Amino acid sequence: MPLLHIDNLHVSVDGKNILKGVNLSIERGEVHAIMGPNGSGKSTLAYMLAGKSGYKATKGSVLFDGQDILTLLPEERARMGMFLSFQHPVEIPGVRLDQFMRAGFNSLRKHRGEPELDPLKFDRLLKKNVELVGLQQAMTKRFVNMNFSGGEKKKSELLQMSIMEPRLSILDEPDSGLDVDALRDVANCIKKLHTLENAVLLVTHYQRILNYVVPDQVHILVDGRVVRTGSKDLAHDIEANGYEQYEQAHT
Amino acid sequence: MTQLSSRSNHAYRLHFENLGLKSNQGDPNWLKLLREQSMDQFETLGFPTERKGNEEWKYTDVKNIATTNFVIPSKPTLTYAAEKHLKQAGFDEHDFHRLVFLDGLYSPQLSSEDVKIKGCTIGPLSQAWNAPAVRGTLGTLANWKDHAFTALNTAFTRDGALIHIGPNTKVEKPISIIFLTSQWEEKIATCPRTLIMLEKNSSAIIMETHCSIEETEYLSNAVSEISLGNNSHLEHYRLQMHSKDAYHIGTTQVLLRQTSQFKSVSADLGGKLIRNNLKTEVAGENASCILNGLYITNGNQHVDNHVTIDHSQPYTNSREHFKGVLGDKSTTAFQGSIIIRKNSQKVDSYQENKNLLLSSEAEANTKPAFWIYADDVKCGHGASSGELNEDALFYLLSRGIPEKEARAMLIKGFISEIIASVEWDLYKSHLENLVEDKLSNMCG
Repeated sequence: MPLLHIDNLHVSVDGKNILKGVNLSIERGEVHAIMGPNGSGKSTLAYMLAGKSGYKATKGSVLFDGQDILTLLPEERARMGMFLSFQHPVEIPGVRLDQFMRAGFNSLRKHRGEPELDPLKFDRLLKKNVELVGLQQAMTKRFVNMNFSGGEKKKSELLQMSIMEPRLSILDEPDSGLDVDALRDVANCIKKLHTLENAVLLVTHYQRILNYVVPDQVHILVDGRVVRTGSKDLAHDIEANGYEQYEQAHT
Repeated sequence: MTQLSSRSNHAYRLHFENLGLKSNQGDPNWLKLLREQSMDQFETLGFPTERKGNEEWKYTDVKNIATTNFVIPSKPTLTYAAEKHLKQAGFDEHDFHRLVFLDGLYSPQLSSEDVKIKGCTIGPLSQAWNAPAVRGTLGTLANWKDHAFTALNTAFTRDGALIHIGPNTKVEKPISIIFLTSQWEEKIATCPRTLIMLEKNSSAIIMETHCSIEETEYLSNAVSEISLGNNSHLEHYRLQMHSKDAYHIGTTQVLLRQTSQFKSVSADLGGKLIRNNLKTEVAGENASCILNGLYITNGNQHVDNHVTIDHSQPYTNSREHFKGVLGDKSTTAFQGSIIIRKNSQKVDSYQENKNLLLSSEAEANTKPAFWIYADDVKCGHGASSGELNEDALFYLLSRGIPEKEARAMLIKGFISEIIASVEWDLYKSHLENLVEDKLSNMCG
């Protein structure tokens, strides 16, 4: 049984059809990349999987670990082991990053019947992980994403991923807006967090991050459909020739 | 001001006579005269109503106050309930000086032992009528000639809190003034009075709490006068947690002299109809005030903060920051007036009011007003009202946080900067708990 199985998924947002029959299957231990031009529905797929309100599945199914998740709330999906790294993480004034992460972490532990961690113990756990993603511990005392640089926001998302230890990580453009060094750091971090037990669905516009995080499969999404699935070479082809060939073939 | 002539005005006169407020043998003549003039003035002014020509009271209708016959009790009885209530309030009184007033009158039993600090008087006004500073200041800051509620309070000034800090004195422990309304069969009116004077180079942390023992209907009509000498520094906290059926009209008048600093953090959590008048005159060069406020309303609560800052001297600063969280059908108003007088160049002033609406039936009003007569000043303002940010909520949910907890986190985040501005740690954590309690009632 695949970890994630998407079958003929149609999604509408505000009455507009965005996804028009997406098929996708991811096994444990795999990395899949979804590539596509702007407006092809990449982020819609990511939000849909995470359960954002206003995203409506009009047809098809999504099974996570064999369970239909389309009727589940976002918090329930998170507790099952799904994680979304946001392309544009929202700034939350007055809520400290460490407290926010502890609340999420403890709700997962509670769900698993494990005791919650107090701030002190959680701090110790954080310490290990901030080093892993290349942030400073002091950063976690700041308000969530407030005045974070682009790179810090992406790393903060990965820090949350490292704490939550999800079974499926959906990374929505973890590479956007990063310079070469930050991109390498972020990519290396994703590699470290990826194991044989979990899977990564990496949404990206560019091939460059895939030089570090090598995908098992690459899917090209155009106008709400997967028009081509292939190996990592497909990403190189995109880099060389662009999306135009697929868009033309499709229309 | 329109006059609402009513039986209740007459009733107040009767209470005034019965309490012997202009004839009491023990009281000094100046006080009796002040009371009598105030009583006359109250009758002349009448209660302000929201009828036309009464812009100041546009958002707050005091008709129910004007038409209810509140009784002014002669002497409260100390009850076990009062002691119990204070104990539950959770303060360890060794960490601060405590002055407790039951229905406006000093209760030595409920207060800390007499505070003896050299050059300072911290205690009941009723034991200090003859002090020259009291005589010279009481009734001179709060404007009883133009404001009916202030006149009414002044007419019924029988006691109150007196905090007079001598020059060059730093009061180490915070001073907590608690105005507690006790239980009566009738609907009562109390007139809590406070006089705070900091002489030059002195500093203090003073807190005013307004609360009640039971969930009864009453009127609390409070007046505080605060006079800050050169280079003095006052941290002032006001906590209002009245009964859900209570009316509260509170007036705080502050006078700042050269290089003095006034910081106030107010929190309105209780009450049915609340109107706070906070008026500061920044009347000395390099003086500055920071006025922060928080209100959390639900049910049919109404809270109106009317804040006036008068920059009467150049090189003065002010910052105002009020935040509200509104649930159910509650309504709030923030009216912020800033006056910068003709010679008050180089004034730097900013005002902000933000409201978070948890219900579509709640209503937040913001009305800034500026009277700027100087030309070289900085003066800005900002206001917003809105619902919880859905994207932020989704972000929290996507991390597995239950919706109720996620909402509470966002709301607490919204008001956190106001609470964070409290420098007295004991009160800060107390306030956090009170806010938590109130929000947990509101978020279901």
